[in-house]
Amino acid sequence: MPHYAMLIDAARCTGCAACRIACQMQWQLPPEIFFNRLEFREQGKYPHVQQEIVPVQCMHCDHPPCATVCPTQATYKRDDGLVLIDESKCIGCKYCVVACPYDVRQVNERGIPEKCRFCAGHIENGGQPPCVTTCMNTVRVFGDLDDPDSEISRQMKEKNVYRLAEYKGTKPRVFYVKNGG
Amino acid sequence: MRMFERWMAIPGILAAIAFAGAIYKWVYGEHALGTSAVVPWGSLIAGYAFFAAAATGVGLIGAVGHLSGKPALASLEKRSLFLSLALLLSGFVLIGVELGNPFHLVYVVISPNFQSGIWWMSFLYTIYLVLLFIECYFSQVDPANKNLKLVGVIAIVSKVAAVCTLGAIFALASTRIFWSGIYFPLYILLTAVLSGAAALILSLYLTGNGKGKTVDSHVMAALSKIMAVTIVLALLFTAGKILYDSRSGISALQDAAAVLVSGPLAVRFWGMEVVVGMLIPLMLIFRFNLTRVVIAAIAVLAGVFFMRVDFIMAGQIVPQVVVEGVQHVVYHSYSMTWTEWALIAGAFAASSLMYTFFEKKFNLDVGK
Repeated sequence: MPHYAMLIDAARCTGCAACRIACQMQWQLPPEIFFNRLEFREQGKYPHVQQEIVPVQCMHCDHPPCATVCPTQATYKRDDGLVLIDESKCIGCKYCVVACPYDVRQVNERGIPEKCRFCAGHIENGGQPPCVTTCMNTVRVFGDLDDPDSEISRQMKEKNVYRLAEYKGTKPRVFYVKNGG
Repeated sequence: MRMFERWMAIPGILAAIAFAGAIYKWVYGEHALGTSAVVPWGSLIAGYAFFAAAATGVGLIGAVGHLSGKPALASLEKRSLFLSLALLLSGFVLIGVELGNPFHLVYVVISPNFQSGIWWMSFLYTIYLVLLFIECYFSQVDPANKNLKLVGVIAIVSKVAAVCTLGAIFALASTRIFWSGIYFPLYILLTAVLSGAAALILSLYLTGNGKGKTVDSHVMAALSKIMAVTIVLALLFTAGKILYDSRSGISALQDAAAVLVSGPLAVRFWGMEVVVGMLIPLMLIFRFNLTRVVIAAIAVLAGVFFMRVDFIMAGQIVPQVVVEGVQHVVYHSYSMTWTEWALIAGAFAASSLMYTFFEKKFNLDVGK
């Protein structure tokens, strides 16, 4: 059983937002709905200031609070690590939106709080998520952490990585390369 | 009587406007509300919490009064059941409109998640509703039935459990630190009794006067005492929460407390919640007089409604720290749309229409 994860090297990001648009095309989303976003942060003090662009999306947490609070198990975690939504079970209470520490859920026109699906249905056939393949700077690496020969496993061993809001205890499966790491 | 029936045109019109609001929400979904991806819960959730808690408070006062045998409160036995039913049904309609896919509610039964606070609240309020129907039925058909006492005791347990679980939905949302902890389940139980007493006073006054009956001053005095005690406790709870959060050293807690004390919700917090909802009613009922008590009850209901809205908003409008060092806005914005105002007003109207109907159709006097 694969265990999917993503590694993001924010230092490589130019902020072109191609990842967001590729995702919107892949899932045919309206302009106001997007599954990944870019956060811009400034670091350092003048004159040594730099801007870092941090892509943020559903973290497919190992302890997903959105799945814990869902009254109908509409949000669930698969054995391969993906956190998905069964639309037919969702009552639209938005408890998952409230519970998400990363503000990544967006309610669509059908009343479903949507989010990144790690391109389920596409990756099982050997494909890569379009946010990964469209990026000109290879900011994102997606793959199976249980496969020691995969690109993500290799880079995770080589690089110094961290996760967003780790103190919340959700154990995200999206990792970030530390600056200079 | 005629005058009273003319007055009932007001809730009738409000209910019609609310119906238009419900249709608008049905067609435009989330766009009809002031909510967003960062402020997902708005006034309709607050309204549901208000009506469900007030229904519980009414039921608790009636049930405890009946079981304790205190004459002033025991006379409320049947009225409290029917008023509780009217308020709970209004709350359910409100949450039904708020839900994105209410027709999927069947999955609460066939695909339950026992870890979810909402699941437990749905389960307990369903039990509460079923017990209410049973109690209402027997109160008309066979009020002397021996098993009613047992049903009453089970109903009290389900009421306390249901309203505390309603509070726990917020308390267990670990990402919203302002809501976390034991505070809200206890506070909502306390303010449920407060709003329940106020709702009972108002309904007794309106329906009693309308039928040309004199309102029992002993009952009103007992209810106003319950209001006074719960207001004092609610003031202490509120002061304790604000003081603790402000001095906690945890920035998310301090920011949420500041939102209420001196931030964008300050006018509503001090004006509606503290002054109108608690201090003015306390001053009014200090000296017993029917008119003063009724005005105090109206003020309490308004204050507790804004208490629910403010609590829910303070927990959401302070942005979460997702990426360290990034903050786009000081506060997320939220304002109630006309649809929300219409639906909230409609819920008040619907509960008053339902209760008036019950009062007309059923015998709600004890001992008859």
